[in-house]
Amino acid sequence: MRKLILLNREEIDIWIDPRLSNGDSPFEDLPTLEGFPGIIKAKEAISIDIFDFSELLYRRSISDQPKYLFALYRVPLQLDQNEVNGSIWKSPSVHPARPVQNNE
Amino acid sequence: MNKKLIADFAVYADKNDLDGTGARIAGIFLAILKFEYQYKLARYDYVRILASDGPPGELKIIGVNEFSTRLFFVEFGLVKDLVEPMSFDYWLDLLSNLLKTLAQQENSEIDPIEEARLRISVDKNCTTVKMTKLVKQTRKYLIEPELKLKANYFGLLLYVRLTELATGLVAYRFIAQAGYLDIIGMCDHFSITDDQLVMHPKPHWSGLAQHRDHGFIAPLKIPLAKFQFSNQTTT
Repeated sequence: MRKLILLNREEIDIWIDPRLSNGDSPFEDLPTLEGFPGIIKAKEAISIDIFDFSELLYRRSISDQPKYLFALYRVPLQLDQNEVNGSIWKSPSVHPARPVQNNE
Repeated sequence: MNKKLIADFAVYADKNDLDGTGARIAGIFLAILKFEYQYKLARYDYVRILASDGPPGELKIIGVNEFSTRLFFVEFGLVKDLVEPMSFDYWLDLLSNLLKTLAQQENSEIDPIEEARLRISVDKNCTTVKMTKLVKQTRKYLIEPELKLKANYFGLLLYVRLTELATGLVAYRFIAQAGYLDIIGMCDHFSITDDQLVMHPKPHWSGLAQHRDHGFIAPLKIPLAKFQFSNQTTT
């Protein structure tokens, strides 16, 4: 069985709605995954059976609260690989740029 | 006076536009006015609509940006309690009123704005806009892109109708889902190369890096084998 290991690289728990796709349907027409929408804990990696699908689409929150960000994300699932690694990257809106250091 | 097609008509309501409905309706409004009516509103290219702490419902025309006459700013007092329960109608009325106010100021036609408002209001569950400027005929195919606004769907949906000229067979396929500006950025023109439909992004699309960061591919290539041709004109 093909698997995706999806790692939450955020330092906070994230509410997420991931769905498997072949790129031919809008996100809302895709079935939800068992156990989702739900939370992936900070730095946690989960395993998802990906069958013959070519991509995983997800919408997410910037916290553990069920609120969609106005954005859609995609994890490509290479069809020639049995185990694919994917990441939920840090959102710039939750991690503002560091202030410039004053070296004087 | 050189009036222009507006390049962007965008809502910056921050957290108050909770599900992005304001931004989605602004996108389809602009798509109808621009692609189907070729409606020219004013001399500026961009209208930025910002939520303010002013009296609820009040539109405050700020005017052109002091650094760029291409940018025009408007503020509106957001009726926060109405946003969620009446989201669609609330944003549709707010945006059409705003456009009509600007049209009056610029001595431009109001009828196209009202026609667009009516279309969105009547076809609330699915408004379709033909992207006429992007229609292209190759030696073998006619490529006709369309934008759709569907209630409760994220962003706008881009579809392509592909007609095989030799046989008249038609395929209609979903291509992409994104906010208006990203759709416009990722979709400069289409071509058919090596039995693939290729969607080419605009050469200087500022959202390209973020689009790729979000995991998407540009230019997007879809093998023609993934289009299901039939003799029915599905929409």
